[in-house]
Amino acid sequence: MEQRVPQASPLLKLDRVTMRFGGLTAVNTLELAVFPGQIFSLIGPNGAGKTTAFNVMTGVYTPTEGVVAFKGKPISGHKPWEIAKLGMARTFQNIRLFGGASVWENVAIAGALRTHASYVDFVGLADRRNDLARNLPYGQQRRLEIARALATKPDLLLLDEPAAGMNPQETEDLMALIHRIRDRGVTVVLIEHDMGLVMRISDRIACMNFGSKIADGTPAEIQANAAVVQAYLGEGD
Amino acid sequence: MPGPLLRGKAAMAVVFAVVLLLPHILRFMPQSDYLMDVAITTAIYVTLAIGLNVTVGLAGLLDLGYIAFYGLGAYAAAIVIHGGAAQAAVSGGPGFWVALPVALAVAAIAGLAIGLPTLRLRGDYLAIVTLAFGQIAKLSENNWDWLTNGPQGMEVAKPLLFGAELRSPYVLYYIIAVIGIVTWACVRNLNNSAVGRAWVAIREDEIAAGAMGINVPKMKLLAFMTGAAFAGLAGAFFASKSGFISPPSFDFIETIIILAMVVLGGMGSLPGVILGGIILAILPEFLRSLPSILQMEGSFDITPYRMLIYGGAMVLIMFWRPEGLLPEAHRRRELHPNLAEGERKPVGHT
Repeated sequence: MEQRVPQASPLLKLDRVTMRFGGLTAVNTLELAVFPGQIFSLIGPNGAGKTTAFNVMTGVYTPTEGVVAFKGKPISGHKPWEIAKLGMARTFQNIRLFGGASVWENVAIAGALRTHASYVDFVGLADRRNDLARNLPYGQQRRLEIARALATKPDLLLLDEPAAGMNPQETEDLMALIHRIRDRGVTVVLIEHDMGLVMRISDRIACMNFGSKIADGTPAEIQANAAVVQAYLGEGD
Repeated sequence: MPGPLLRGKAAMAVVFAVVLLLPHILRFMPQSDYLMDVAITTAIYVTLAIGLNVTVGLAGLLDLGYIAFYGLGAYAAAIVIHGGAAQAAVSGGPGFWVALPVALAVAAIAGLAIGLPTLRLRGDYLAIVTLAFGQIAKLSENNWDWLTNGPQGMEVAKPLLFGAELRSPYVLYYIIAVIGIVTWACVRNLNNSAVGRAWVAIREDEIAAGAMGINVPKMKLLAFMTGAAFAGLAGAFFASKSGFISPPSFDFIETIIILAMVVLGGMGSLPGVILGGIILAILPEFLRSLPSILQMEGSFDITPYRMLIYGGAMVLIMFWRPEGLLPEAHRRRELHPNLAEGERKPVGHT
């Protein structure tokens, strides 16, 4: 994989972002910088705070401390729909489609009233365009979520575990799809547990554990990082 | 074989013709004044059902205090027509045509007032808060003697046109018919626009809707205010047409009846809720006159069984068509997944 050279200013920047829920610190002074054109992965064991970080980025939560900046402007405290309008789109770990609406309607609702067919086509669901979203198999629901997110014409796409529940062939197709998304000029941030996928697709990876970032680097650097290995496998005796 | 669009247009033309010609048909029937009164009441209910359908059917916000907006509209109109508070010494107000927009505004503001504090509530919780709001409105009407004359109710003057009092049921019918058609046209246009798509999105998944760039609070408030505003219009008409209003007209059971019209007709479907409104408004009156139609007045008294049959009919319809009589495309597919797919309608097009 070709290594993308970071440009001068990050598209998305988290500056010492902390998110506390009562006594629980879900995200602790997190620093991230995602540059335009990158495929950036956020990894870490379950409960590390990855999805909370996504929710902070997309405005579902306002960070307790720190600043999220998108396109150079602070967005912490903005509402989700305001951030969406600025050009950030996402998918959800627990798929959140408009289940009672058809495939193409899901995409049309997101803003592509006239061009919905092109997005449905792009993710390979053209033959299911009239099916109800909730009647699709799991892998196709994930693809539809991506199509719906793309219909908002984002510059940054956050994918929360897109390969979860997919078989190896579907994961291969997903990887090709993410590449095609990036080739459209959309920067991608991905939370993913499928390490094979993460290592092959990412330009850069950050690893979280217990709310804090423990490593940040290229796939090769992450694979060689002792703290990452320890976080996943536990401490040796 | 005409396409569904053409059939829809033809059906609409027939409905319009019936609405416009109805008084000229009823005029030649026995008990025509009574029949006109049923027609007017039906038109009020249909207007209310279209309004509640916006909040409940389209945006998915269960509002159990809906009749309060109708009541507030009625009282606002009564007070404007009276020229001031019920027990204040006043010398006549500006009349029905001024009261109409005032009632609309009062109800819409009340919709905003109930919408704002409940933005974070969903489902059952929203239902309970709106239920309480409906009770508060009714209790206020019942106890604020100075403003509303309490349980004694308020006299309301009939609409005037060029100095003449509009008493004829035929004229009153056309006023409510226009109110109903305006309501229908506004809701239809909203529903076919980006607003309608936003409502569908919020109904299906609020968090996903927000992530797609839909301003969820704004769209919810718009749904509350739209539904409330048309209830206010209907309330103003009801007050002036009846000549008298009192709190029992705005009881909780009225909300339930209107909700039943929406559910039975097909939540979210505009033709459906119109049909539901017509059926549930006419059915009790039809049952009342059934013995005389069958010419068996002496032998069987239906009165005690009237509401039983009414309720039983509702249960049967829900068994037979849980999605409603003329359901929205989404719900039909949801409840009958094996039905042939022929839908090419844009979202929200009903």
